Amino acid sequence: MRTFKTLLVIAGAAVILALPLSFGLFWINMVITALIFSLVVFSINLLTGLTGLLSFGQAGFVGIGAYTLGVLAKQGNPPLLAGLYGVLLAMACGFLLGLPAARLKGHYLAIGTLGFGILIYQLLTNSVDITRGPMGLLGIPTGGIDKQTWYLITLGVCLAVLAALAYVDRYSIVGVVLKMVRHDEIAARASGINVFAVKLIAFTVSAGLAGLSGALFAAYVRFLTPDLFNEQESFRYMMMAVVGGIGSPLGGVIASLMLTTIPEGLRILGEDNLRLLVYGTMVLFVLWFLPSGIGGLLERRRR
Amino acid sequence: MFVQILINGLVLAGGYALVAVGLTLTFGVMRMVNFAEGQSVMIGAFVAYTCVPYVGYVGAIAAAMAVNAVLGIILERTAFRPFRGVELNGLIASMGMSIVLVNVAELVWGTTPRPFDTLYNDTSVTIGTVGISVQRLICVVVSGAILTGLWWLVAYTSLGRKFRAVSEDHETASAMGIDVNQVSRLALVIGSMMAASAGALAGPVNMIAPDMGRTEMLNAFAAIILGGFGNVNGTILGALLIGLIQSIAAVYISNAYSTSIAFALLVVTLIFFPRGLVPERVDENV
Repeated sequence: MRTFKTLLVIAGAAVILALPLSFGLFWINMVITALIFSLVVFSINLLTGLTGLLSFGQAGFVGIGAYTLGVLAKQGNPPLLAGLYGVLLAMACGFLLGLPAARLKGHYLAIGTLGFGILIYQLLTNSVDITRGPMGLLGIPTGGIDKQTWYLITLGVCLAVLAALAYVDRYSIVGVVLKMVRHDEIAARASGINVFAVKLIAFTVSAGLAGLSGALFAAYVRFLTPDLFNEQESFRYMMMAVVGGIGSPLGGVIASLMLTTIPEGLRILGEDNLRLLVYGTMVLFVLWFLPSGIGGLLERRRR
Repeated sequence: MFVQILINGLVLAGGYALVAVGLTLTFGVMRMVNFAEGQSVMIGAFVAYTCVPYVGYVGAIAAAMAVNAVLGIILERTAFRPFRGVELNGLIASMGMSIVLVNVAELVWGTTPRPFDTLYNDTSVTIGTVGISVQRLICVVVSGAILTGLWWLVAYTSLGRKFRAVSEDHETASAMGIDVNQVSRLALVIGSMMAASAGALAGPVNMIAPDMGRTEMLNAFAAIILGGFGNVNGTILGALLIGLIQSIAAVYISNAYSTSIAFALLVVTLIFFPRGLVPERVDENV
């Protein structure tokens, strides 16, 4: 009986996951972008949800990943290699930011990382000879893949990261260490955990995830402007993470799907501002009535 | 040249200080960061802009402050009271409110930046060899006056004592018969009104646009971090530093990076002083 139920769940999940393949271009596009965004949400789940560190500079890492791929691929490097460089550069920046940031706490950390994000945004905007600044980086040579394949790629990456996070969270000693640092730094230190190193690693890996999202975004959309990576975007990722439930990557995917597709669906309202108005109000309503986000709702169902 | 840079720096610093002190007050009392404060500046600037033709500049500032007082009450109810103790959610809620406010403003006033002209923009006085517009002088003097008023309020009045008591210890203050909700609401109302004055004062110096709240808030954050969260005097010091450094950097380095320079300075400061220049007292329990 139990195996039957598991089979049923797996079959249901497969149907839901395959469903977007039959969508029209507009919606499949939306789902792909949402999946790419949810990688950033995962990076926040890891950093804030597991390790208890706040970052309002995630869009900076996304920007680093995206622009590295864009610039290198346009110079003729193979896109996969360029993407790898993007992720590595984002990780290196995450490490460098982590050096001072791992010593900061709470609001100081939030604003310090916000500062990093702004620094990256202004660098992208002002170093016109490399990034073309506000004129935008056009025609990144990663075309030729159809939307269905893109959907499968992004879905695969998301599921892999989701599984890895769930594994770290539930079964691995790493998860225990991360959560210990979040709950009680002093106790963690007393148990022989190098808190600084743990935080540094969390920053680096989370930056890598955000960079990966950026690289995928650049390869998929093939057009970049610095405005896609300003601090407003960092806030938006944070909103997705909180609406999804900060410790719940699965909730994060659902939130990023919701917060990407619903505002787009609201384009029928015509006016751009009305759309964003609904978006803001929606976030408020979720916070009022579901304080632990969509993840909390899923958790309650499970019990 | 020197006078010019100094006055420009003080104009910037005055605006930053008004916003930052409002933020710091709210933070001190509620332990929550108000991410919608920048939008309060923007709403203040637009309300003043709309009212100037009817009631004059002074009346417009008063009107902006009145509107923002109401806005403060709304913010407290929607984004702060429901989230007491759940800091991150409160933060995100104030971001949500901030999105709502920007878009309401864009619906009402449109998205294009517009000049905010007052009588005092075109008149200027000569100090030494340079002409300084009267509007800039008004900015410096009035923001100085408001900040002094706030300092007096916090240091010497019974409301100020309540603010300090609540920021020291929420529960004990409540046990001593202080209505924490009321004090929080007042902190937000005062913070919001200060933001309105910042918008109404600095608006005429620059252009006003519905997205102006962004930079206002970022610079205010930089000032707060430099000065230490929840510390009014430190925050004013931080705002002065940021304003002066930006106006010097705008002349000698580049205008394009002015926000970056503020934040680079901030990151460097945080490396050496992880809790700001004037650290707040935090007890860590073992």
